Amino acid sequence: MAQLPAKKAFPKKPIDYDRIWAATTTERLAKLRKEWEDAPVEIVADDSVSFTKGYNRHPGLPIHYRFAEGSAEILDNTKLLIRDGELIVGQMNDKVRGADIFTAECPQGVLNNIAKGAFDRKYSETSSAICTPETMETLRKDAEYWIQFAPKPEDDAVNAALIHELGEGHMDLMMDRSMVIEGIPFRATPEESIWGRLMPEKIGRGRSSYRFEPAAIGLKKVIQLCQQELDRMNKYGGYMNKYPDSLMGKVTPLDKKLMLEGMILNCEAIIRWANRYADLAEKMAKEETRPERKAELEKIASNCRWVPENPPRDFWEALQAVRFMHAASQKEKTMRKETALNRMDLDLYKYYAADKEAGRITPEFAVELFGAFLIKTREVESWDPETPEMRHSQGTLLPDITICGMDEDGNDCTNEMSCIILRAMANMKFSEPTIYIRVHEKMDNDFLKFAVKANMEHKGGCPAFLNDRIGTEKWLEYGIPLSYATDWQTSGCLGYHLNIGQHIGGFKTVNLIKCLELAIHDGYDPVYKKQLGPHTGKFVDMKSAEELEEAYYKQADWAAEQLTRDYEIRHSIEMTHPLMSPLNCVMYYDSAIEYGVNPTCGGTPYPVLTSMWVGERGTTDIADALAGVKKVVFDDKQFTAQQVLDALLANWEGYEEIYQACLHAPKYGNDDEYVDSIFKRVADNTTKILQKRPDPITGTKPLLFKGAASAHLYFGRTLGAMPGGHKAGTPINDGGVSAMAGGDCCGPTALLNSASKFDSSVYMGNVLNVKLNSQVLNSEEKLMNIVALIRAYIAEGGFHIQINIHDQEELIDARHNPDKHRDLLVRVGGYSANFVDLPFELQDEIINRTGHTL
Amino acid sequence: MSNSNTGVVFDIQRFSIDDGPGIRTIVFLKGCPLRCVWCANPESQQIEPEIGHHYTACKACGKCAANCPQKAITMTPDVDKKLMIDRSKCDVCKICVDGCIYKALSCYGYTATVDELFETVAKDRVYYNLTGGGLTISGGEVTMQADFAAALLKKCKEADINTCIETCGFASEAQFRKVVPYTDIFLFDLKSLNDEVHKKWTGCSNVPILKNLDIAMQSEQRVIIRWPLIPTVNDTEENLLAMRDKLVELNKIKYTSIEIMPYHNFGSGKYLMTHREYELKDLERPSEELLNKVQKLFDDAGIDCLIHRS
Repeated sequence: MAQLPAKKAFPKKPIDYDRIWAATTTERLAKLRKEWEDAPVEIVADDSVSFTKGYNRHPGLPIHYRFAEGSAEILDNTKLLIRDGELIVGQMNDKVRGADIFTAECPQGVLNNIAKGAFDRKYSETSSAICTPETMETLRKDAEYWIQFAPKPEDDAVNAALIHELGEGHMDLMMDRSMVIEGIPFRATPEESIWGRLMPEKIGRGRSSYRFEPAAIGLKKVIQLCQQELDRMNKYGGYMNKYPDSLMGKVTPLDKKLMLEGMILNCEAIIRWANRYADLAEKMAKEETRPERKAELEKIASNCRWVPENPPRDFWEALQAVRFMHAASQKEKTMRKETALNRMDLDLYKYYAADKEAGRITPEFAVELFGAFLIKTREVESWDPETPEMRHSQGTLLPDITICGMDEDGNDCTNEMSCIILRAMANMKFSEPTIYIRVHEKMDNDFLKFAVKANMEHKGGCPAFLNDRIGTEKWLEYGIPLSYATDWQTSGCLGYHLNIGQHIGGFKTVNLIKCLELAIHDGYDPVYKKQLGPHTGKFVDMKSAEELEEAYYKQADWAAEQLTRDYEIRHSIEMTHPLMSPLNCVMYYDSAIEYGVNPTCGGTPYPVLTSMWVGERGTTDIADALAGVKKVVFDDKQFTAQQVLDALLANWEGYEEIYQACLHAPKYGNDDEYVDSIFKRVADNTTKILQKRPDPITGTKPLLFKGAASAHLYFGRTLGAMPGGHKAGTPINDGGVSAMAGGDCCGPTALLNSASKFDSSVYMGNVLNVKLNSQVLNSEEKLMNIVALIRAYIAEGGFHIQINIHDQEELIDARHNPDKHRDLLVRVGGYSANFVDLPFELQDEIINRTGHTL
Repeated sequence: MSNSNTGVVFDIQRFSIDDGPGIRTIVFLKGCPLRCVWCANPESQQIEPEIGHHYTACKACGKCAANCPQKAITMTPDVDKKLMIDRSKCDVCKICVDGCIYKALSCYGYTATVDELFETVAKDRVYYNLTGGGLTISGGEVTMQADFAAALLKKCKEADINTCIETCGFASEAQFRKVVPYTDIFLFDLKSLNDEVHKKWTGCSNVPILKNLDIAMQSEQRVIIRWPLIPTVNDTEENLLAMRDKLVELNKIKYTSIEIMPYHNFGSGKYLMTHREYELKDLERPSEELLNKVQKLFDDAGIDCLIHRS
């Protein structure tokens, strides 16, 4: 069977913006949300035990089949819960906020956490977990079983190859050490087990993702298609004539058959799970005395009886089917339950439109249903026992929703469902999912105004706005046909993928600002205290800032080489195990049934879908640092290179004058050519350096992105003082093209102009955070100015813009740390002043008032 | 100091959405003939540059006092004020500004050329085009530097950038007429229609102001009246009705809307920074009740009225 056609716009119909905007939250949703807010996080061991049982049913068979047996067993033993008032069902377990632990992935990590008491503790003021002694005991037993399979670092293939090829010193570049490259130092540590051995990147190639497509045709149909292919293979032999070269000899007929059988197992398990919900809802309906709730439960029962086995017949069923498929994917995903929700407005509109046409649904109820769905996406907790605080805030699962965009015929895909999604998001005010709007010039101003209003009500920088044209054009360059290139959506940390194949596996991020630090210290890392990079000259001998810039390019080139070699080795070994996750093959049934593997693992005619992603962070910090050196040392000759170097090594302590001079040197984000020209040059040259080495397997240019949402925290942590005024260990600039905190003082248009100088067209993702004071937006008319900001930035070639409304917290922070908030303006007509210049009493007064300006 | 090529500016504010339509860049010129006691930009009043002291950023290190060639700066034990500048001694040489590592001293007012300002204004052209925005010259008072303002307005108009001035209207007819041909929108301040009140609180008569308003009204361009509503100064029933009647009269000539600028004390910090006395320390902001009453007054008269709530 051939790949499914790309999504297209539906015939344009007028959107009733006012009516949808008026559909504010309901009592039911407020109650469900409150219950969720109040519920404790509870550790659940069911999945761990079920997986162990299922996985061991047929020892000796290839692991991808055993993996399917494991995940089917998980679903069959998942406890059910239907809460009062719920409209969409399908709980991860029987807790409102249960965290499923998956011991097989890292038994030593689980044992360590038990020993530290980390499962049952307060993580922060607002986050804590409950783990009963029985659960703890179950996890311990399970972990003790898996620990026997945990590999020793010394006999792990990747470790051995990395050390043999790159030397022991290579490990110094990784996480927890100097962090020139974001990555785990040893692929297999004693913390890991068989899964760590096969999926070193954790997020994992081939780990399950979500697509609506199988639910749209019904899993019964997917089972049929798998069965047909199995029958064909049995009758005529397993030969396939459309095999991509990279899979030749890697996927045998037996592998493929077991994959198809595994897909069937998974489909059947999801259907059984849904039917158990139907049984429970029926039972509850019989016992229910309130007629209204009784009717709801009957409808829920009928929904679960029908989907996802069969194609949805109405909007409610379609949304219920999304829930089952998305949750099943998360259930299979073990520790990190990161799964994007994709283009839901296009997936769901036809059901809604038909219901509306037939008078079966009102926009208000659609908003409520979607709100009920959003709650379900929050009722899942992620627990990563290895790096709980290192990388992710607990519960960040990135179930991104992408809406709007333009299709291959140039039609605007925005529809009424896009607005319903935004309204529900603003009602529920969850930190996730983030809604991403693909903005293009054909989009109505009314829609963008609606989106900005939703952003202001939500206040969490959501929705975010993406450049539709750039998102599509980039794929064309890599040889993807136009129709598939237009069908893209966000996923993970600020990346995005095509609907025909998600590939977040195999990415590496290089810490560029660290490379500049190496350049300042002649290749020596003053924080990790080791010579890491090549000798590129002593800073004190340099005659200009440009010389330092050249040294940085050499360090960056060296880091890029290390990164590519590292990737090449890890990837070479991964390639010997291309078969993973039959459930993911269900999601991509359109290509997986043909190839026997999902697109991420090579089951695609487009090699770029398996190419490496190279992330980078720090070009704006580099611009600030180089501008600091240029201004203070070479142009103004205020201090000598030696003095600045001493100040950096002392982390500015005892060098207040030098610190202030560097801090007040020109900063990126102010539309100031002095520093923006450096930024532009550094960014362009760095792009060339990072794309110099083709992907070792596919030969395409690596895909670049400014990814990893929280990289500014941990990249900053291993960084010493920098001449832009950075203090050792503090965060670097967030978002990729955002300015230094407090560094942009000329308002959002200046920041946008600075950021537009970056060539987004070669990048897969970068983010600009724009902060606005809520005071600014006190009338409907003024919203159009924000719409204009978005439109202008996107017209100028920016990729991603996120509008953050200042909240009280920020004002309070500005009150105490004025240096970080020089950009914060107090706005009243005809008046000009910065917040930090106001007398403290007045600052306090404004802080107290801001809570209700919006 | 100010001519058709060079002028004295005290600030430029980009992404302004409160002073004229759309997204605008405001150029604040220095120097104003009025001395309104409620002035929110006191550093704009005199045309000569002056030193401002950001006492919240000041660490009272004493370096400026030690370096000042005029010995105009003295450190004080007052923890809030930290230092005093004797303005009669200060010749604005800026040695203290350049020497302050905390950027706690700055110079209000600098000279800039028409071309320099135009370059900055033109940077946001794409935002103006999308929102109907453009340049606003505010102040201070634009007609104090009429030749300079006219040259900048002209240059923007020639470049198809929308122009707006915020004026107090106090100028000779000849000066005022210089800016009229290059202005698309007048934000015309009217403090009080009662000349006694006007003289008492601004130090000047409103007669030339009303004359210049007539000139603006006779032009083709849009006029928006801006009325600073200051409790106890011009918020009496008599003042309110007079203002309404004036707007009704103006609307007979051409469409004219009014924007109410309720008193706020955000400028009080700048009085401290420029070591001026803030006379209205204890004045409360207009009550919501009063604002609603004003809104209704104009609504009932069929006048478009916008209140800039702070």
